[in-house]
Amino acid sequence: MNRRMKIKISLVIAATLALLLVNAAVFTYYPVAVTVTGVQPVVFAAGSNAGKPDLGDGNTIVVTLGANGTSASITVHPTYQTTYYKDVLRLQNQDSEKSYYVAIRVNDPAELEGASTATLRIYDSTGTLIDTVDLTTTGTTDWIAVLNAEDYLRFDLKFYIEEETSLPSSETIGFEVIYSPQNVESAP
Amino acid sequence: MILKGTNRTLIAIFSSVFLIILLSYIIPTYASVYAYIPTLASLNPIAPPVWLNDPQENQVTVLIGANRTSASITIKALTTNLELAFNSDFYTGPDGWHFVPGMYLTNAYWLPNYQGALGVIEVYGTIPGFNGDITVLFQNITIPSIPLSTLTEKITYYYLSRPSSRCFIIGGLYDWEDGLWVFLDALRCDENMWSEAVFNIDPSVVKPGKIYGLIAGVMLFNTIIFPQTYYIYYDKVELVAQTTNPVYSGNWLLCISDGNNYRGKLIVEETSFSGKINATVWLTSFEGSETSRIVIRDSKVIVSETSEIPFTQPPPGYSSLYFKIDTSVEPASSGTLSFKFRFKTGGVVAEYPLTLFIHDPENGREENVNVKFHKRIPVHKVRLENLLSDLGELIEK
Repeated sequence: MNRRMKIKISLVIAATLALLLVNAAVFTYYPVAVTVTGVQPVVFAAGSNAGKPDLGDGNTIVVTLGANGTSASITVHPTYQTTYYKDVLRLQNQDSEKSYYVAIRVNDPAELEGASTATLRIYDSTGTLIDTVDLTTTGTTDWIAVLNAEDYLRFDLKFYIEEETSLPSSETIGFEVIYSPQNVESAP
Repeated sequence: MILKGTNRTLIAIFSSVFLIILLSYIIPTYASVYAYIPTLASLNPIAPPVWLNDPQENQVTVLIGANRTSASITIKALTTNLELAFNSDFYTGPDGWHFVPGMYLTNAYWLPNYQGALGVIEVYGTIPGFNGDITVLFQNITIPSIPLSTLTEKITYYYLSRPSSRCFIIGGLYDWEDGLWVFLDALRCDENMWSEAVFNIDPSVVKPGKIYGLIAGVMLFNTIIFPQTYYIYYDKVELVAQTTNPVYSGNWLLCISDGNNYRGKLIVEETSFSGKINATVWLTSFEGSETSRIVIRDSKVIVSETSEIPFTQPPPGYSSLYFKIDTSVEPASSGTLSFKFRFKTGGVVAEYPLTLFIHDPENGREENVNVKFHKRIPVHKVRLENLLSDLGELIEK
């Protein structure tokens, strides 16, 4: 290393130290106003079969929506073999311009015996199957659907309860619908 | 030159730094917006609201699943003598039969017994001298939709003889649709004993699935000047069809539901055949309504599902739905059909799996079974006059 280079390095180090000292000592405040505006571009809506008769004398398919349509509770009464609930819940995009990507996260899976299954089947508004989600295991799907502006997705439920297993008196399945304007990263 | 090189380096460094800063702003901007909407689904499973039952038929073996929501059924198809007449022995009454009176033979009663026979129809009347009369019992029967090798009408009767009289027992099949007799014959009566008049009918004169009027009658002539009272008793009137191939016609499964209103149908999912099988499969409700039919012809599925049929809780002693089949199997043939019994109410659809195995257990060897073909058809009252006039012509001859 020649003398000239040593001087340059010394100057850089000196400048860096000076900058650090300046940064440590100087505080600059720029005012930022954060305005939080509540929007609900995507909400739940009852499907066409919500409230209709279910299996069993006097039973109905119960769909209860949260006050703002941002939560939903479904109660159904399946029996042995295959029971299919079509169009019990819809995911409605109220935005007139923006599309959203949709993923499903199963937090509280169904605990069923034997080879029994519980599946969420998601259809677009034309009736095309978009994806099926296993409701017996936890996990988050990829971005499985694009919910276009003012469009909706249809949620069906399909259960298979194997014969010779005991019927649970009640079983709760918790899942979340995640939506985002981007599909670059998975939902945290 | 050195200055130019330094500038390029600086531009490159500044560009990279700018890009990194830009990306570090852009990526978090898009990645940071997620909305989560919670959903809770509560399953309250219930005991099956619709359950399957064994019809307890001789030729049918049924294995019902542990929770009565699946079934495996085996049908043993046999060469069969099908008794086509309903209530052919009058054992408990005259149900299903109609009396067409003559001019003088105008009385018909059911008696619990006569001359050792249980359950008989008594017909009587006084015929003036040098006169004759004719009277018949009839009911409508349906010819099964399967090939027949023989068709036989048997009338078991007792004729109380009278002097200077002639008696003939009449057997016949009347085609309501075309308004003609496809079979009509008379045999001289035996006297004062239970006798059997047997009429062999050519099976080719009847059409599969068609309705005919089955006639059992008597023709009496009084050949003396004084009036005489005649009595004739019927113990049985049978029409027996023997099938060419092993067959089974009847129930293969039953189902019962709770008080909800359902709509059900059958769908063929898979089939496998060995040899040749013909079958029609359908559902009927306890109220008598029927679905359209699944059709299997020459071991090929022609129609794969029935129409829908409404059903609900049946009255005691009945089932909500009866699973029916008419099947004809060529000797040594067999077939397996996988069905879905699909039923729905409101916004829910349920499916039960069913497997049906049809076979000729004797591999074509002769085995015979007698089966009652209980089916009642509404009476075509409008055509009775035609029937009577044709019988009148017979008297004149």
